[in-house]
Amino acid sequence: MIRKKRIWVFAKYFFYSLVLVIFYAMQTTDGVFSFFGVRPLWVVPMAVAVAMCENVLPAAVFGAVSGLLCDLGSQALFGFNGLVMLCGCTAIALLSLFLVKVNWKSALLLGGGLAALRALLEFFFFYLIWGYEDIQLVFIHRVFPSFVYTVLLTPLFLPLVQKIKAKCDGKWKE
Amino acid sequence: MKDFLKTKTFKLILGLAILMCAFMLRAAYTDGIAIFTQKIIGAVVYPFQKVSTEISSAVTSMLQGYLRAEQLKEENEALKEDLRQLRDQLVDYESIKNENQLYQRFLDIKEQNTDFTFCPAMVIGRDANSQFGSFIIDKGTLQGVAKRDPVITSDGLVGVIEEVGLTYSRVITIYDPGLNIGAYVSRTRDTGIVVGAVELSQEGQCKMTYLPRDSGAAIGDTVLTSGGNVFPKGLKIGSIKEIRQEDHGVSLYAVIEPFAFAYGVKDVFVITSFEGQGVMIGDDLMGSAAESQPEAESSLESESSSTEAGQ
Repeated sequence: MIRKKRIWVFAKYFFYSLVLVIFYAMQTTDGVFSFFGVRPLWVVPMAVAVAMCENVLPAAVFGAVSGLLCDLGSQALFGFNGLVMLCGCTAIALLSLFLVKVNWKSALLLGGGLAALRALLEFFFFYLIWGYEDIQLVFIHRVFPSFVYTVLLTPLFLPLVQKIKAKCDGKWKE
Repeated sequence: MKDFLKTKTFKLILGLAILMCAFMLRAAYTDGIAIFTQKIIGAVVYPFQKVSTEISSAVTSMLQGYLRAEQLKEENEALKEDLRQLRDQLVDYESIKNENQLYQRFLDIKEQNTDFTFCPAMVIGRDANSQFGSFIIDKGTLQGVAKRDPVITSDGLVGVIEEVGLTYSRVITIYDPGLNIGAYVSRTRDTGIVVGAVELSQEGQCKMTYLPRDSGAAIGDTVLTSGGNVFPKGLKIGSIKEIRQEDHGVSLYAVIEPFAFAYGVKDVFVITSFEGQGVMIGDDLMGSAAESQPEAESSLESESSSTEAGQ
């Protein structure tokens, strides 16, 4: 029984990781799901969905990994998004465990909150404080549309993660 | 909440947070050289990125085929006669021709600059999170690519390597306001600094600042790199689209239309070495434009004198 459980728990996290890497590849591929040059950050809603469905530690680890993936492609210092996402996903996991119902509305709210926090902090530390001329245009034309696009996707990830969790957890509980 | 702060889970999460801070400190210390963790993550996701890029290219070309079906049908009718004669030719003739043209241009650059060492690379990623068109290429330290190597296409300068891993590198483009390039106008020899501007970058343009007020530079003039230890002399940057006065009124600036459209490049060349390439000191590359101008001028002078000496 314990062996069976271990295998399916491993399988669950393996599938989460695989989906995360696939979404990261989509995030960095030019033109994929691009509307008027705006593309979403796929790994953020994925991490939020995992955080809402799992315990605090796996949520924190997935958040950190998702953040590090964001760092790979962005101009942020490596580890910056990792730290923000780690803290954010830990908070989301705690909220989902004790306070908030896990449904698409809360996914939209929590995902939006984390995506906004990440976008604002990155914009502030890596663009705004350097005093580039007309930097607000980057926020208006790039950061904000990308944030909205990301938030709109968030509720779609919840059923996906719930399905993987139900499938894998159901197997060892059989 | 108090109970959670005493748990092992909280201590582990705290440890992870400290690790993230350590990553940041290390990344800041190494200044763009990918740290070990970065290299590992990069190596894991690299095959997925490559596959994703190839699938995306295939799907895009397939969709374009459907969207242009009617037009293609008409063309097909008209070309049927010609195609019969071309039956014996190879199916991949077009791709070989394109490749050949690409390498022909590459050869032209190579012949003009015998001291350049090139590394051809393919664009494998453009993160949605990146501004100013920065992208990831499929070559890294294993192929001899180093931080601050110039990146070009056959049309002209695209940008510079900002971060390098084992099998990938991240390129920042000439639209980035943080990248300053010593440059001169080929006709008038006026020097200045080519730098990205947020507003212009939206239209795929950048600007050349610190042009003297009496500059004879005009619309259509070509702008080239003035040389130094980061960029070799004479790389084509773009042509002047407009000349405007700076807000402070002391000097002029020119709006530059780069020859290479960095937002859409698929294949690039990294110049891994050239005569005069040196180690940068401090933050010359990412420093302020004002600080960089004397350097640009002096590098132009030194390049000129070295050319004369060579003659």
